[in-house]
Amino acid sequence: VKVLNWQIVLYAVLSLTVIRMAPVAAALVGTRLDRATIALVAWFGPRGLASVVFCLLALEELGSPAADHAAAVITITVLLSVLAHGATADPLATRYARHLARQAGQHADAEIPAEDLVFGAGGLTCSPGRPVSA
Amino acid sequence: VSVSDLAIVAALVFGWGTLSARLERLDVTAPITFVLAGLLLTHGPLAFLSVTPSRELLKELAEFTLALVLFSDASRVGLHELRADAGLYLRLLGAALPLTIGPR
Repeated sequence: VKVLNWQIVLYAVLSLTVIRMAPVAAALVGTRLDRATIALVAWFGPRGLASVVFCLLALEELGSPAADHAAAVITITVLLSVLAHGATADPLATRYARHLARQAGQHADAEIPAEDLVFGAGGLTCSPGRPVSA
Repeated sequence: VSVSDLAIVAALVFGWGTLSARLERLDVTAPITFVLAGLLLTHGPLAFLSVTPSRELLKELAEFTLALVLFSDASRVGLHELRADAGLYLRLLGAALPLTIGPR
């Protein structure tokens, strides 16, 4: 596959972002998940071996000229996914862990009965489950 | 697949084994490393790998590896957690996945 044009790259980028993230976000509307969790679930859909197998199946079933365009898109998508998901896995996991820890702190505040909240009323000023900075 | 090809691949795996902890701290993952190594060793001046696998062999290899990866991932999921989050998976597989694939 030697044809590499901007449309292929654009579609690959879109398939890693909006084409996956928007449906996931829509499917999770109404769950008790907060925005950070939904964003994490939506972003981490690494494209790898499964895509490669589908690509080889397409080449096998459809033959070279018909499947070439799809193969080019899949190749670029997988390469981008390897880089993008690989490079962001650790930083985003760390950030999400910190986010969860913050939230757990808030929940702990919220669970204290109101009369015990003489000091540290910070947990009451924002609704539980919705961090101040996400 | 020649002996030198096997030696190069074995050296790569060994090299990753010794350096992985340091590289992963720099967010360089195994897929990044091996995809890059594969590109460099098959294209350009460093193309020391002489394998040209047939499409059939490639497909067999990819399918077998995918089966292994999926099995090892699945074996790490507890039935208890699975049941607790079942509604979530139903939404993702039943709504998000068809929406992503789209009508054809």
